[in-house]
Amino acid sequence: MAAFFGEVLPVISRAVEDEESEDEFINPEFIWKPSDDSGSKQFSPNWLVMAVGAVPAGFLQCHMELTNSLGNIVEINDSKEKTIIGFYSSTCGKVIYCISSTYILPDKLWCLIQKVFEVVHCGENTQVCLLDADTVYNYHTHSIAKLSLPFLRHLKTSKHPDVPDIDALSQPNMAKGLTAAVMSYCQLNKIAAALYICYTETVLPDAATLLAFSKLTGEEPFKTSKVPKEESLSRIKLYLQSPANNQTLYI
Amino acid sequence: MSRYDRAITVFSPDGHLFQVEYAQEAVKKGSTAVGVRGNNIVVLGVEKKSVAKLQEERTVRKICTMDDHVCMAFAGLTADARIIVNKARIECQSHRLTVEDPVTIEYITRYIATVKQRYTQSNGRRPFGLSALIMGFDYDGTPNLYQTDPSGTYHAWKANAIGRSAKTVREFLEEHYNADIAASDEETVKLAVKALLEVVQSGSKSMEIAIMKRNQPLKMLEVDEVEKMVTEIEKQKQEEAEKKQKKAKGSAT
Repeated sequence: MAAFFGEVLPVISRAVEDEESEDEFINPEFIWKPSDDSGSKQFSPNWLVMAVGAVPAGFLQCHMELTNSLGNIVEINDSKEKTIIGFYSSTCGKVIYCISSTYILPDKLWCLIQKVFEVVHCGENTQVCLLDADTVYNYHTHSIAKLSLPFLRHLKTSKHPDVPDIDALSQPNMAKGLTAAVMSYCQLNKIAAALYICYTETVLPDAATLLAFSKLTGEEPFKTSKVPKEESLSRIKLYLQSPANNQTLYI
Repeated sequence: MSRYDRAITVFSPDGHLFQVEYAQEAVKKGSTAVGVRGNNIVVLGVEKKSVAKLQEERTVRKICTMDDHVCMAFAGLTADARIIVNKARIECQSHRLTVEDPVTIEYITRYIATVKQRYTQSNGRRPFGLSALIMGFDYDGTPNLYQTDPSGTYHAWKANAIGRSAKTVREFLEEHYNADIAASDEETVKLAVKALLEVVQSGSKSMEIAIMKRNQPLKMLEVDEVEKMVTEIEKQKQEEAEKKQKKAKGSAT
């Protein structure tokens, strides 16, 4: 249908009944796929660290390589066997890392969160650390020009101690997606959780955006006092040169 | 907003052409390019993209010559860059044949900007997702540096940056560019290198520097020349940091 300004609007005809196609929404089914070693046991870590998106996943992968984290212990797959979240354990078993780079539909989030916390048991002393990223153009502020990119903002549940070094995410900005769902779950279940959102010019991982999370490296669970900064930087460079990050669309 | 961002020819009620603005976002996905104009030299510096293991590095280029006396660095969509470069090269030769004179830098910049603007006002097309830094010398020996963006605007600059982290680099240039630096060829090149070092993490290996002097063709600096310059700059930075520390200790006591 052509509109007044010359644009074409999609209009679904009410005269024809669409047949249900195979692509229609199917009830979400998330399936645990444990690695051979972990079996079907529950995990009770001191820290649960979850990275959602390419930039946080890149930072967490670099950190995991530096700390020689144990391999993949379990995955959550969807009904088509595509990995939604990968879980990794630190060598001491006190930290569980989760990485998710897939977009999850809002109506599937709650099922997924239930699945996650079925296996990862968060006790009184467990803390949850969530990493997310977004473009600065989704950040509402009076003047973007005054902000130096990239920058971090945080949100925390009432049980989490104060985060002094990083500004809080102010209204009307909101957390969205998987990290927001996990924060809601943690607040309802009185689990100490903090979400760190990195606002960048581009959500593609590059050195500047990955280093934006370096503010967190002074504190647990990212403290790696034994690893010199140069090694961290060279790990980040290696990660950025990997085939996954090499694309020819932009120059 | 979604009602006004699908068609290039539609203004939003508050006067935005969203497709043009989105094209400017595509530019920020490209790696950084910086241009500095001296009195007797013009310099282009680019962040080299990491190439895949089996890819021929020489086919991944961010700096191209338009003619013997004009060259261009760009940031944004690779394919759009190829089209613009081809059009500009043909125009340079066409001008030579017709007018029997080489193009001025302003002329070729205006040509490129006109092409880009045409694509912001045509139905069924999208804007070029490309910004370009065009530098060179006119036939009267004047050095020039121009910048174009996807909207089709163009301006002359003393120094500018495009692509990722362009804002950081531009702020560095605003702070450090002055007439003394422009008067010295070596200092002009060093300024471009220093500006790139603000955003390029891996140092000289991730940089490509091109210089053009009056009546000379474009010259790409060798890797070891850039390496030497970077080492010198880092040594200077260290010395300045040590001086500041001593001053601070001195004033504390």
